[in-house]
Parts: sequence; structure tokens; C-alpha cells
Amino acid sequence: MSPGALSRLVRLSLSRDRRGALFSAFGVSVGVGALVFFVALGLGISKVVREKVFPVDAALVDVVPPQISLGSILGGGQLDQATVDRLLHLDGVTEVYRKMNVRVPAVSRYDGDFFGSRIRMGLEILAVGVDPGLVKKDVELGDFADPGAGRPIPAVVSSRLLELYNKSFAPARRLPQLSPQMVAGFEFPVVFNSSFVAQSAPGPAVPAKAQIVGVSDRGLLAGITIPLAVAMRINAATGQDAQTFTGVTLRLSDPSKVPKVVAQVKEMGFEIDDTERRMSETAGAAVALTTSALALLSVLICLLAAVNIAHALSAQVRARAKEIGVMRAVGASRADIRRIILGEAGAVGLLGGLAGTVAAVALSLALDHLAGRYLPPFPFKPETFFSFPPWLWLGGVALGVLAALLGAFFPSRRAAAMDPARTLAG
Amino acid sequence: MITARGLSRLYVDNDGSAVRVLDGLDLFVGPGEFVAIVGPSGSGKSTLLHVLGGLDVHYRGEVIVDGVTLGGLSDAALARFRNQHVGFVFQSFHLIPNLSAAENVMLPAFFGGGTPGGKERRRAEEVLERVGLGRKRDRAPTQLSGGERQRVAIGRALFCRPKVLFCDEPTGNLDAATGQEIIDIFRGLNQDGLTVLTVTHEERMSAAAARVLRLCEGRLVEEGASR
Ligand SMILES: Nc1ncnc2c1ncn2[C@@H]1O[C@H](COP(=O)(O)OP(=O)(O)OP(=O)(O)O)[C@@H](O)[C@H]1O
Ligand SMILES: [Mg+2]
Repeated sequence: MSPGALSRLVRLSLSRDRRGALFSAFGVSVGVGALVFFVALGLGISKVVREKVFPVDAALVDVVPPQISLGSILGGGQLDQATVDRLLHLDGVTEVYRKMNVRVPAVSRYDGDFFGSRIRMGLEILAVGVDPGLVKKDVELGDFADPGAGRPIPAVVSSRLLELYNKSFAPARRLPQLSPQMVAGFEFPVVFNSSFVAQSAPGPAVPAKAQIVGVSDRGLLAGITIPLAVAMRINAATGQDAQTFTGVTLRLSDPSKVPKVVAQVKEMGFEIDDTERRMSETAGAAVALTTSALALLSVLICLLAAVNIAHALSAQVRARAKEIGVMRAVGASRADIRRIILGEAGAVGLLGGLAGTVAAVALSLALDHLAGRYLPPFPFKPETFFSFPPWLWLGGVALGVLAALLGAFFPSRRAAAMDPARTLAG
Repeated sequence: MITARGLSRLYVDNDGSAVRVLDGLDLFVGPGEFVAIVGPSGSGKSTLLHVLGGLDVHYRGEVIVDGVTLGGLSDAALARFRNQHVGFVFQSFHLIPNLSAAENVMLPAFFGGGTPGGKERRRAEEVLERVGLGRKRDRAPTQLSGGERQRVAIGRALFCRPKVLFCDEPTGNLDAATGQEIIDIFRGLNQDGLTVLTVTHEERMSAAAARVLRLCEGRLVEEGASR
């Protein structure tokens, strides 16, 4: 039997029992719809975790000095320039970005106009100096270099900090919402080697001005990220260590090189700061676990749909015994009969799979819309809670077809095994 | 056209006992013959027809129809044989209810390897014309009388231009007048060269046939030429 003939026959048989076919397709669509919905939700949430809450660049590795080590006592285990040069020569490392904390406390006292409001507050501030390359792509003002003493220090703030400000801090204090473009250019005073709480170092206080020049995922969460040269200058001016680095971020040519580079770094006596990565992985695992549980439930619904189809088809095969006998008499082989029954089920599954997938997408759009309208803003609140990659569409439809074919497996065999001589006699 | 030698068919009942329905049966039917098979109910007439037409494979013996030796053919090859070489007409018509008359006639075209299209549609109309139903081709089976349904069934059997027609009491469900019309159709087809083998209880049908064979105790006995 040709595919064209098969598809015409399938259409003819389905049009006979439209209600039955629609009912079976509905069963499939519920299962597929639930599965696609939950998987899309899981994917959407983990995307938010990965891209907004814990943005981790898989090709970056953070090297830190060992916390307690024999090396540091003996004078080794320090991240000095020589070590940085050695790190740069590791296989797979394309760039190194040095980081140095400003090793004295700093405060900012602000009293003035803040985007149309007036605020007065004092804040303890942490500052870390980094090689410009690390945050360059997010810098919107100037070239992120040391402007020289007395001029505003370019500072990058964390995009997560901005998110927390916008969704929690600002609404509570009736302060305006800020975009990265708006904060760029904002200036505020900072006094280094000064603190409200801690003891400052023996050296002099260094008053300065900082200017926000960008918002970056790689910015320090609770502080400002400034050019490395500035941090070194301040550390030197306050009599601090201006030679060794607090950390070094390695950029690898490829995320797959991570394990090898990590091993080499550890061999050199250093440690890897992977707290961010681990948090991201933990959150991702929690989402994946929940998603899997719900997906499993949906697969169960699909199985139920398959059982329903099996049930409906066996009854139908019995009722159509004569018709099947006639087809055999006019030239259908057993394989043809099987194909017809499977074809009918496949069409029902295709319909159900498509309907379920479309329903899941529609439901997700509706929920996103409702969330956008009625849920109060909260940090990292996404535009959409769902993600529908193409494979999910295809998978949904394929699952529908698969469930239907599974249900049709035994009925189709029974139909093919029927003895036409017996059904046609009389 | 039909050769059967030493045909035997056993049915095993539910209690395990074997019932020998055909028992070393021989049959020779030449091209263009019109043969009627008579016999009491349960004597195995339908069984014989199913074996000869390639619908039943659980037999012993040799069967050659239209030059095709049926023994040992695969299921697909047997299906092709039924599609191309023979046609079946049954007592209770067995039309597919949701298909029109013309679509029922076209049914064999679905299993011929191609995709039914305009050519098959025209062939169906031509065949319906031949059995006198040209104007009712778009009717559903439920909108047709018993005689008309049997004409559609004959049309379906003729669709692929078979050489042999196997009929199992084709007039059994029809009144006398309608049955006569059907008999006339078979006679006309036979005159055009078609070999017809029909099982019948009907006197007039066997009268129309050139030869009448009686199935008795698993074998065929010649009843002599019709009057
Ligand atoms: N599938 C089967 N299983 C067991 N016995 C069967 C089966 N089919 C037919 N028989 C038996 O075989 C015998 C012949 O049956 P068949 O239908 O060929 O008779 P028939 O001559 O066509 O009868 P009728 O004139 O009533 O149609 C009967 O006794 C019947 O009970
Ligand atoms: Mg019979």
C-alpha cells in the first residue's frame, strides 16, 4: 500500500468516528500539554537562575590563594605577578584578569539629589580593582583606566545589586527605578581608609570621588569594581600590600578545558573559588529535580492516554472486523491492516500532540501576562517564566505520536491477525 | 483457470476434536466457465471458496488459480493475488458504511500499490455503469436497496479486472426478482469471458450455471449439465 493510499484511508476512517478520535486526541493532548508546560517552566526558571540570579560564565575560572597554607608561611602560595605570568601560560588559558581588593575600609556619605529624590545616607563600601578586560564589555563611559589622583574613579556596579535595588530597596523607600543607562555617570564621594565600624589603617584617609560607568554581571555584589591601577595606587598610598593579588580570573578558550586547568592550578598550590558556580548548580539541580518530577507525572498522563487509545482501538477493531475482512479480501495484507490501525492512531497522536503543545504555549503566555500584570515586582522577576526551545515543540508532538502508537500496538496486531475467512462468512 | 488437487481442510473445534470439512477434493474449472456449487449447510462451500480465493491458507493440497500457485505464497503475495486476479462477492455485501458507492468500488485501488486518483475514480464509474448503478455512485450504502448494494459489491469485485469471480450465495439476502437481476449480471459477465464460481442454494442460479457441483462429504460430485 502506498503512503498516499494509506493517508487517504486513514482520513476516511477517522472522519467516520470524529468524536471518538477527538476524545482519544484529547487524552493525548492533556498528557503532552502537561509535559510541555512543566518542562518549559523548568527550562524557563533555570534560564533565569543561570542568566540572572547566578550568571556563571562557564569559560571563566577564579583562582584564589590558599586560605591557610604552608606556602604562605614560607613565602609561596602568593598571587604575585610572576604567578600570574605562569597562569597565563597554562594550556587553554587565553587571558588572565588580575583582581586586587582595596585593602582598607571605605565609606561613602551621600547627601544630595538622587535621580529626582533627595537622600542622605552613609555606607560602608568594598572596592576591588580588576584588569579592565574583565568588565570592559559593560563599561558605557570612558575606558575604565586610572584617571589619576583627584579625578573621579570609574566604578562598575553589579547588575544583581541594581536588580535588588530596583525590586526591593527602591519600592520600599519610594526611590525611582534605575536602568544601567541611567546610573552611568552618577557620581558619589568615597573616603578610603575610613570606616564607621572597623579600625582604619595607620595611613592617611584618602578622599575621592567615584563615578558609575557601567553595570556588569562580573561586578562585586556588595561594592564597587574599579580599575586595578586605582586599587594598587590606594593600597600603596595607605601603606598596604600593593604587590600580590586577591584573585585571578582565567579565561579559557573552551569550557571543556576547565577540569584540566583547575587541576594544574591546584598543583601550583592555589585554590578555585567556585562558590558562584556551585550555587548556580545547586539552584539548577533543584529546578531540574522539580521539573523531572512533574515531567514524570506528565509522562504518566501520556501513558494513561495510551491505555485509553488501546482500549478504544480494541473495541473499534472488534466492531470493524467485517470491514477489515473486506479489505483483506480485496487485497490488503496483514501488514497493510496493521499500518492502517497504526496510521489512524498516529494521526490521533499527532493531533493530540500538536493540540497539547499549542495549549501549553497558550497557557504559558497567559500566565506570563498575568504575572506581568498582577505579581508585584521582585528581584530577578523575569519577563517570562517559560522557555520553549524548538526541540520541546518537536518533542511534544513526537511524544503524542509515540503514546498513540504505543496504545495502538496490540490492537493493530490483533486486527492484522484476524482471520478474514471467519469474519466474512455468513 | 482453477485447478485444485487433493484439497483438505481441517477445523479444530474448541473441544480439540478435528472436523474434516474438505477431504481430498479435486476441482478443474476452465477459463470462461460458469460453475455453481451446491450442498447442504455446513458442508464446506464457503471454506472451499476461501481456500481457492487465497483468503484461507490452512489447507493441504494444491491450488492454482489464473496461473498462480497459491501454496507457499507470502501473506503479501497472497494479498496481491486477491487484489489482481480474483474478485469476491458475499451474501451480505460487506460494504463499508461511510464510503459512497463509488468509493466502495474503488477500495481495491487502495491496496494495488498506487494512490487512488482520478483514473481510479473514472474506472469506478465505468464499473458502476456496467452493473447498472451509474447514477447512484455517490450514495451511501444505507441509501441503497439490497439489490443495489450487491451491485456495488459486484462492482468492487470487478474493479481490478479479475479473471475469476468467487461468489458466496450472492442472492441469498435478496428477493426473487432482485436475485434474478443479479443472476443476469453474472450471466452477462460470464458471456464477456469472466470465469464465475458461485456457491448457491438458489435453483435459478444453478440453472444459469453451465455446470453444477455438489459438495458432499468433503468432495465435489458433478451434478451433470444444467437443463
Ligand atoms: N473457523 C472455524 N472453526 C471451526 N469450524 C469451522 C470454522 N469455520 C467453519 N467451520 C465449520 O466448517 C464447516 C463448513 O463451514 P462452511 O462455512 O464452509 O459451510 P457452508 O457450506 O458454507 O455452510 P452454509 O451453507 O451454511 O454457508 C461447518 O461445519 C462449520 O461449522
Ligand atoms: Mg457458507
